[in-house]
Amino acid sequence: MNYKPDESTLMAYLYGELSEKDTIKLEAYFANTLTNWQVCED
Amino acid sequence: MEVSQKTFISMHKNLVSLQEVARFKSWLYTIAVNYCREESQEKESKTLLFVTRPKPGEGEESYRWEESHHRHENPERQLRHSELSDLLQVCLMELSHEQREVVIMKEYEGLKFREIAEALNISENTVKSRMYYGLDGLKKILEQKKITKETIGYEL
Repeated sequence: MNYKPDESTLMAYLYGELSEKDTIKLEAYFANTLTNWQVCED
Repeated sequence: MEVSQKTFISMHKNLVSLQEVARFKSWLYTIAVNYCREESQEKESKTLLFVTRPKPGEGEESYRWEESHHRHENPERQLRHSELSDLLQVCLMELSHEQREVVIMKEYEGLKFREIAEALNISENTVKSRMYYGLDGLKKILEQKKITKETIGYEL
């Protein structure tokens, strides 16, 4: 997954101003990143 | 005359020129921001003349980090609010002018990024970027001053 959110996207997400489409994309990125961390820890 | 008085007089005079009522809030903030900047420049030139800088928290740019509803809280909590307010105000003054105005408009005035962008006449992405680096700056300032919720004894 090549997508990496920039600071503008993160700010919009933090304040609930990100579009629904971008929110889904960002949350998928978070979920994926978290999974990778868990794999690394194991 | 105070900035708020100038803003409301200007608003009253120019209200007929407002084309989109939905943009009233950002339009009003544009007027206020312009008067604030004007006054800030005047103060800056006076400061240079007298070679004395105002203490953090003084002058038009100071922003009281305290809400009026805290008056009804118990004295200890009220004092903590007041201390936290002063502390954050000092930290805010260490940010750049651009970051500070965005952080205040977002966190204290509750404006949308779009409204801030319109009021400051900059792009929405620039506003978000200034907010990001402003918050990051505040975090670093607090770390430098070794301020944590434990040290101030206040649940953030």
